[in-house]
Amino acid sequence: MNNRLIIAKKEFQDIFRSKIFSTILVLLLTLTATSILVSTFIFKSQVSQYESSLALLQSIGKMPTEAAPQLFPLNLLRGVVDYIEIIGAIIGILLGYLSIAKEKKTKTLKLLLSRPITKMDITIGKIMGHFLFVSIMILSVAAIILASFLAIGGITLTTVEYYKLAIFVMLSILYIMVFFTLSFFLSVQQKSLSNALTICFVIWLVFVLVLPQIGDTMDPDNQVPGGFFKSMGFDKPQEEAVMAKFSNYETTRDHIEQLSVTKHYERTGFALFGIKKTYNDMMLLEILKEKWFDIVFLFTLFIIGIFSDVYILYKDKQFISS
Amino acid sequence: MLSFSIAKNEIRHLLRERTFFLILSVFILITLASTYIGWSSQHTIESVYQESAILLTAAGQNVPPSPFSNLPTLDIVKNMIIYIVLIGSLLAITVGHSIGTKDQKAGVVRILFSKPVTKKDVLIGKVTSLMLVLFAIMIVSLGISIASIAMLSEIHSAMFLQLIGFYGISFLYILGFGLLGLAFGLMKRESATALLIPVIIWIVITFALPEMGSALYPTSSLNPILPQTNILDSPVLSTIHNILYPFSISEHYKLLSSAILALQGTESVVSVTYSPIMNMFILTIWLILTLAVSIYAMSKFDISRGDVYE
Repeated sequence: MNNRLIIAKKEFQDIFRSKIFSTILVLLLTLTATSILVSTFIFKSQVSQYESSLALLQSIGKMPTEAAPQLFPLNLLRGVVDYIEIIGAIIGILLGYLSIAKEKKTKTLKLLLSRPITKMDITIGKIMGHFLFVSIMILSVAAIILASFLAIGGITLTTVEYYKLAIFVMLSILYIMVFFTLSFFLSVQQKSLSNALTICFVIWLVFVLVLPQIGDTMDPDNQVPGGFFKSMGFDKPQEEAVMAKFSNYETTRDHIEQLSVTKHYERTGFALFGIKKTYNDMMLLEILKEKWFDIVFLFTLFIIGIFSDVYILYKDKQFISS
Repeated sequence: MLSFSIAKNEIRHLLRERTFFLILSVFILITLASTYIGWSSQHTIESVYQESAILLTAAGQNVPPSPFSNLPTLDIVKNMIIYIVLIGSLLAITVGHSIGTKDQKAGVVRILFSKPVTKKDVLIGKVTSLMLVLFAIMIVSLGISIASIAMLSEIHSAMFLQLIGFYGISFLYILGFGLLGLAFGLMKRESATALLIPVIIWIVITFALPEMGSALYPTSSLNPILPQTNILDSPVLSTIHNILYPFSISEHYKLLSSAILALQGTESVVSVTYSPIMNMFILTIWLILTLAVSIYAMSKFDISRGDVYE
């Protein structure tokens, strides 16, 4: 157990020395703050638009049919979910790659294994060190979120909102670690590190960007700016009544999206933050009950990743002797 | 002549790389799939409209005119704009990176420059090979798009010209990223760093600038139909938009492509937009700048340099 902790500590220290990593981390934190700022301005713009419409309607003796925009602070975090989806996955890939690249470059693995340390110790130690680092990183993002809320208008969260943020932090760590284990696996398995990195980027491209994009563009409601059903003046039950006749198409679209780990993470994140408006009025437990499959999916992928990393390190003799 | 030999050698080497073929396959597959996805979505949404109209008529309500009645035939290839932004750009970065780091990885930099070869010859050779490879990829994509449109719908000479124009613009757009991959491949000693820096620039151009400048959330900007964002109602957002918009290369590319393909509903929801000529001008500046970065990288390239680290 001690060996694993020592390796974890060493991994953790090594990450701080990587310039690329600090650059990407700064980028993620900056984009988090910027995204909240942009969302706040959009919300303020909606409020002022509503107020001017209200004044106009009142001047002609009418009352508005729509309710005033209501601020749910977590709604402002849509961009943050998007950025963790995209940049968080790259950070995971980069960490997995660097963790193996340094061993290949310095040829230290053989030396390490001449000590009373097992391959299991090495894999678990590396995963633990990076898990800790990713946790600190995502907690920094959460800190930036809270600081931005305070800075833009003294917004404080309720206890339930803190719980939601905490669950989101845990899911984000899992999501990034899925990509870490993938990159770790490929960096050991591939002869060339550049090849491993490029393959990781291709997987990232397909599962993080392309599959969710295909699902989104197949959505009938996304075919008109502002939403097709809104343009038809439909409410939710009417929309559902129409879409019930296209269940096969919707099932295919859903299956395409479900192939992507990112979509599982996004669906849970959007539900927790109420970005899909229907979740704003739901209890936290109800949301978790509805999203259990997405959460279990992420967790399962992470576990599979750990086992695959242990397996490849035991199997790949070439890496050890390189 | 020397540059020609270098270009030939670079292309030969690239064709032996498995990772190049991996990304190329993804790109070709998605080109094949994109027309079908566009066609299938278009047919489904037309049926959804018909069903909606029946429901409204039954309820005695007015039926709004179909927003899809006058869609151009080329609407079915609109997803290709997004795939060029996503996959085409990354493919170009990989090709540029591979060409930029090849000699260093093989440890032949000193041998190469011990011959009567100048840095200019090498740069011209590398840029030529990059251009030829990306051009060939665009030609293949053009062929696939034409064939798939002809199979699923109809195609005539005007559309043919529109598609040539679209893939021509796409070539210029991805060439910029290829040149960045090449430049950082020449500049950086570590292969991973050389690959990651252009990827970071790509993230900023593709996701961060459209969000900061036009209030488009990263994943929303990947849908050819843009969401409604009335940013001009906010003086702050409007000011940020005016400052950042000229630098938002991906938005200019998307707008110009939509204009060439005569697509509807893909135009920016922001009312302060530029004319297609201005979009083209900005794309040209982008290309000149990335070429300048490549020239700078080659001018600073250490010809006594040894191997590049993986």
